[in-house]
Amino acid sequence: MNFLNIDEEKIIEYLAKRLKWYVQEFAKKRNGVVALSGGLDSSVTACITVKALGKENTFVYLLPSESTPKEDIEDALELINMLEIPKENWETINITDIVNLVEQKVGKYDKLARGNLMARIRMIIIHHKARIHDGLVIGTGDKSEILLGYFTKYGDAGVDVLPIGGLYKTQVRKIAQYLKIPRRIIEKPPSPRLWPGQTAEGELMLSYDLIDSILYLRFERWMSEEEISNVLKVNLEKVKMVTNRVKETQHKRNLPEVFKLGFRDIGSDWRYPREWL
Amino acid sequence: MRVGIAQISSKLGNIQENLRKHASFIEEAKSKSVDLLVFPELSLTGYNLKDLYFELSKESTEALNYLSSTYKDIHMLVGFIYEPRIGLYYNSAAILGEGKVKQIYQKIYLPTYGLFEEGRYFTEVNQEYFYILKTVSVNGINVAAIICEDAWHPEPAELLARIGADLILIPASSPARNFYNLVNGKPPISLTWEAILKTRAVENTSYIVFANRVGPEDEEFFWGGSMIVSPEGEVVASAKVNEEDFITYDLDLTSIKRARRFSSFKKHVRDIHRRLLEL
Repeated sequence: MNFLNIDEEKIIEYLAKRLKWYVQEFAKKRNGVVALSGGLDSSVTACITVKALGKENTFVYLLPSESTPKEDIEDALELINMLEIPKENWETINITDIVNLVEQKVGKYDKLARGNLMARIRMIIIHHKARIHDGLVIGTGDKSEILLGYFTKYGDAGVDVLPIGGLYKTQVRKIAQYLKIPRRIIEKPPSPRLWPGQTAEGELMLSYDLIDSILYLRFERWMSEEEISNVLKVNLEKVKMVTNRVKETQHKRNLPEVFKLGFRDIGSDWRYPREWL
Repeated sequence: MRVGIAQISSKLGNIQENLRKHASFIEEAKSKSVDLLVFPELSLTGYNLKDLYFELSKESTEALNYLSSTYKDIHMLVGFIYEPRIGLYYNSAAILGEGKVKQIYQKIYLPTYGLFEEGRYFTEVNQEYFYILKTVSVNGINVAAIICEDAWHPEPAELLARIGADLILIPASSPARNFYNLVNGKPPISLTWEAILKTRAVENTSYIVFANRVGPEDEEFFWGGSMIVSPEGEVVASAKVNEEDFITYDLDLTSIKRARRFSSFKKHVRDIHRRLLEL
């Protein structure tokens, strides 16, 4: 849809500038740490981090599990090569043994729970790496996933900043093309790879082209579900499926609620800026 | 004249469920021969709607019209979002009765401090509002309403009293804070409200009906504790704290008479208001 067209060059420049300020001036850290999956979002995020902080200040971790296809690892390595990430700045840590150990100690996890567990183990590792490298954890979530709640709470959402959180999936793809990210990364269907064969579009039964258009028109242009159904020529039920998904996952985008007891508590009473010094 | 308060817990943004709740309290009020039933502020929509404020005016107005046409033999004050001009929303409450929407009251002071963000979503009333404002006669008693924050200033209640209201309705959504210093199990704000309501009652020699929301909503909790204060400054009826409740009270017109015999309400010193206008 052409209303989601962007000026890729300007957007990349802007995001890199913002990220540099956020990491080095606001948070006063030196480095950015990215968990690279071989997928679209983390590849674009790694590119923007390199543009913002330089390859010397970008640390990249491949954290595959048994459900990571070997092409993803190859693609991630190709990207590392393309970005010329120094050898001492990247590492592969296979998390399968850790996942199995947790399961062995805690008890059997079902498919979804095991997926969440993997995302959370990656979060634990990446935060430790950020700590030892004087860095921030650069999140890789995009706007479509954040709005749909298509992430693991305290897993891939457990990050310090989300530089591409303002870009819909289809826009991230355009940025990736502009950045000349390996074609295989751009063309593979988006998947969290929490279990073999999992794809986002398959679960939602809609293409990201349509999902993004629905999200944009409903939540940024304030159109009603009926209007969107007419404009996009999409069945009203499908439109509602997308908007309901946003509503149902609102809790995932909020901080945990604090029950109010004092004169002021954390939440609606507490509105200090992020920059508070 | 029997007044009832429906101290309800509305569900945020769920107008159909709120409508069902209104209906059940109205049925109960009718069974107890209530003449005027008062619901809290934004009773049909819930209070802390944030960006949903923009989405519910149509549905809440339809719900209001449904109540008005369905329950013709009782008067009610119901809270809703009023959109008289496209895209401009007013925090409002309407008196319904005899199949009609008799009068719409708009919130004058929109709190925008602490947790409150009404100035961000609602439109402030314009000058014309103060001229179209009217009382509604229910069983021969003149009734009018101001909304929540309006009671924290003397002028809105005074204006209603000066245009003839003997019964002032104050629907509210007052959230609880400061549980560290509960007074007889009630949040301290209940004492502040009680003082304000007694003051408004005495200075205007009018009955005050304060109908507060109760229950949880998003990250807030409303404490309830609705009250009726006589023109002589006595709390004559009060509802439970922290739970839904329904109370009734039969107004005593002699109390209004007594209050006015022993009050300077008869004097309206206009020069004070002229001076205030200059400030």
